[in-house]
Amino acid sequence: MEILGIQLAGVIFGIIFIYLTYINYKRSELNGSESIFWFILWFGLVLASIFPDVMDFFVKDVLNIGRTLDFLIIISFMVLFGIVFYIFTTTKKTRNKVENLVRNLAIKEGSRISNKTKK
Amino acid sequence: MGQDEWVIMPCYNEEKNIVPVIRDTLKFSKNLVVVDDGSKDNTYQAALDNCKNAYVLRHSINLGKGAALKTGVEFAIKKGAKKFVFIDSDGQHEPKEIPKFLKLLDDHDIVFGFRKLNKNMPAIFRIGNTALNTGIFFLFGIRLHDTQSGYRAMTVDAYRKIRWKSTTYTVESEMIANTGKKKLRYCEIPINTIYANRHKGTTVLDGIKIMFDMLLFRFQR
Repeated sequence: MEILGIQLAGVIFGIIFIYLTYINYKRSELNGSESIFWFILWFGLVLASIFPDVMDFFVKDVLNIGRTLDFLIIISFMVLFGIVFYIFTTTKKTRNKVENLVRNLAIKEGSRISNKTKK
Repeated sequence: MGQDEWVIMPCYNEEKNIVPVIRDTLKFSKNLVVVDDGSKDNTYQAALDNCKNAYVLRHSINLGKGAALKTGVEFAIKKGAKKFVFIDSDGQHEPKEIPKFLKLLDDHDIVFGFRKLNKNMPAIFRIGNTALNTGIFFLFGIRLHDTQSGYRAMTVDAYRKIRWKSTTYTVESEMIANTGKKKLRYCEIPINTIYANRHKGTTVLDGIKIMFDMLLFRFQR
């Protein structure tokens, strides 16, 4: 079986990220379900890179998409938009939490100091 | 000035100006909350050491003017505040005008200070202000001369109705947007302004962002 350069790049890319996901899991920065999600994603990328023809039936006959590459691009965009939305909402929640935390600390500390100095 | 009337002064890197501004303000208000918004210089310590009669709060990180104002207001409410005056800490506002704001709060929910156009006002500020004023009139039906002046006053009831989410300079616009949406009674009062530093405060980029945010405020509940 002859492997093209782009396929090799896909395999290397997938393996690197399988490794990084594993490292993050070991450091407890990703929990079990998050790790499984990313492992499936990267293994899928590696398999699709090595055996692009395997997906032909599903892509061409079931989804009626002309090329496997088009299918991968569409899927990639969907995943990326999902991740961006998730990051956006998480960041917003975190920002609100930080703001409230900083405010409550300021008010608490201000009250403590003023109780000492303004008697 | 009564016990329920408070002045809120947010500040950021105002080490050189803060002490005289606080001292001037204390001549017209017994109740002053200074909120240091995570300054990198010695603003907090300068305020704390030199102005024993002011309450000095500190954000451990820089959150922005809107967040600092909210912290000051929340603190003042805990102390029993019913009316607030917001004043900038860079010395561009004259504290002697505080009583005028408070007097107007007897008949209004919110009072906006407006900077009289004069030759000292940088041209870019004039153009930016005119554009923003026009935009706000069309979006919210509120006619103001100066939408970006930070010298303002409001009652605690008004604050509860227009509690802002903005953490940055956009807060000035959000207050106006919410005033229009909640149909609060508002008025304007002319104020004197001293432009000491052209590189501080709202920039051209801030102005563009404010315009964009105002459009968003229009469509928010």
